[in-house]
Amino acid sequence: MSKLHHRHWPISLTLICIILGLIIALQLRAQENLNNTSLYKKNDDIVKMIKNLEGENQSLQAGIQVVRDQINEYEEEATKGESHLKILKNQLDDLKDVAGLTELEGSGVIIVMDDNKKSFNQLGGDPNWYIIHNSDLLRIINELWAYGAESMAVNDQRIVMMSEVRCVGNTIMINAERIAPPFEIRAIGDPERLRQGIEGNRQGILYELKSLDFPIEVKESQVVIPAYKKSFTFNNVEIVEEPKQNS
Amino acid sequence: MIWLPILGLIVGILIGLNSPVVIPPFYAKYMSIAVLAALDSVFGGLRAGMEEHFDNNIFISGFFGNMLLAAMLAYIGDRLGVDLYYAAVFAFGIRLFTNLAAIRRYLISYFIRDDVSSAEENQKNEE
Repeated sequence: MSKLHHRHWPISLTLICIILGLIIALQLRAQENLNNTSLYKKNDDIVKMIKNLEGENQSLQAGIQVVRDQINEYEEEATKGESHLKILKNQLDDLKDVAGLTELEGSGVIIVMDDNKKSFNQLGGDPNWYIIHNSDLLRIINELWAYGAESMAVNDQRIVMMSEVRCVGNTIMINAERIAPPFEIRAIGDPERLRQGIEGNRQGILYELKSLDFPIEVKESQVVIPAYKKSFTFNNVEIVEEPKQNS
Repeated sequence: MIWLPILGLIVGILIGLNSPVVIPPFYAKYMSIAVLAALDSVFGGLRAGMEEHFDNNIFISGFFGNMLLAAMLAYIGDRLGVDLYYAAVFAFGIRLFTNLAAIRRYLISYFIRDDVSSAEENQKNEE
């Protein structure tokens, strides 16, 4: 009996090895699945997705720019030599400036502000106390409008009528773009009025932040405000031909 | 003859990689300990074969028995809050290395000293 088994041991070993290989492979795949469904992997996927979408966004923005340039060209061509259209064209250009579709330049102020890292390192506590929130930015924007700002941008994002300033996780989004500190707020307007207003207001947000030791710098200067790069979409508005409210 | 088991291993891996069966993540942990037990059994069988005291019944029963026992003990340990999983990893790991060492010694004596019996002297039967 034992002699017989002696001679056949490679055969049973082979059979067992097939089973061993099978369960090793199954275990390998199970482990792979386990790693694929982990939280990190999910996070990676989401980050990748965001990166892709942002890239797509960028190329679409470039597309918008191309189309706008084309429209401008057609407008130039159509109004060439026709004086009655020239007036309309001028009106159109003015409206584009107001809407934020063109790059603007003028005297104004630049406010540079950053998170209060120094105080956080010294005092510690809740990190939320030492960072600039979207509400802070909203108040600054609001105050700048109040002190006669004519045009404004935060970190190269033009503030237009549809601009949102919102808190998304640990970043701030403006015009659906992620914004990170340090924040540079540029505004065109009467430089002195803007600076004194924003710095001097005892109820103002800048006074509040400065008293909390946030690093903030306000300077009067010539500023350039970039154009709004996104598109305006109107899906639900209708223009009322005869205003009803005042009748 | 040594190529036959290796071929079998490759065939098994190919079948496993291409089969639609997926082990649920919950059982992956117990499957891993079963794989370790199976590896130990195969190396034990290989060693026994080289030392010429291979017994088919012991080999096959050891292979399946150890595998099921290891997975079951790990599972029961988890239910009871005792980490028997590590005990199994430890025990089978040590045995695996002992078997590998025996195989290595056998191969050395087989190819270099050409004297099998002296290598066998200080080995004892495994499965």
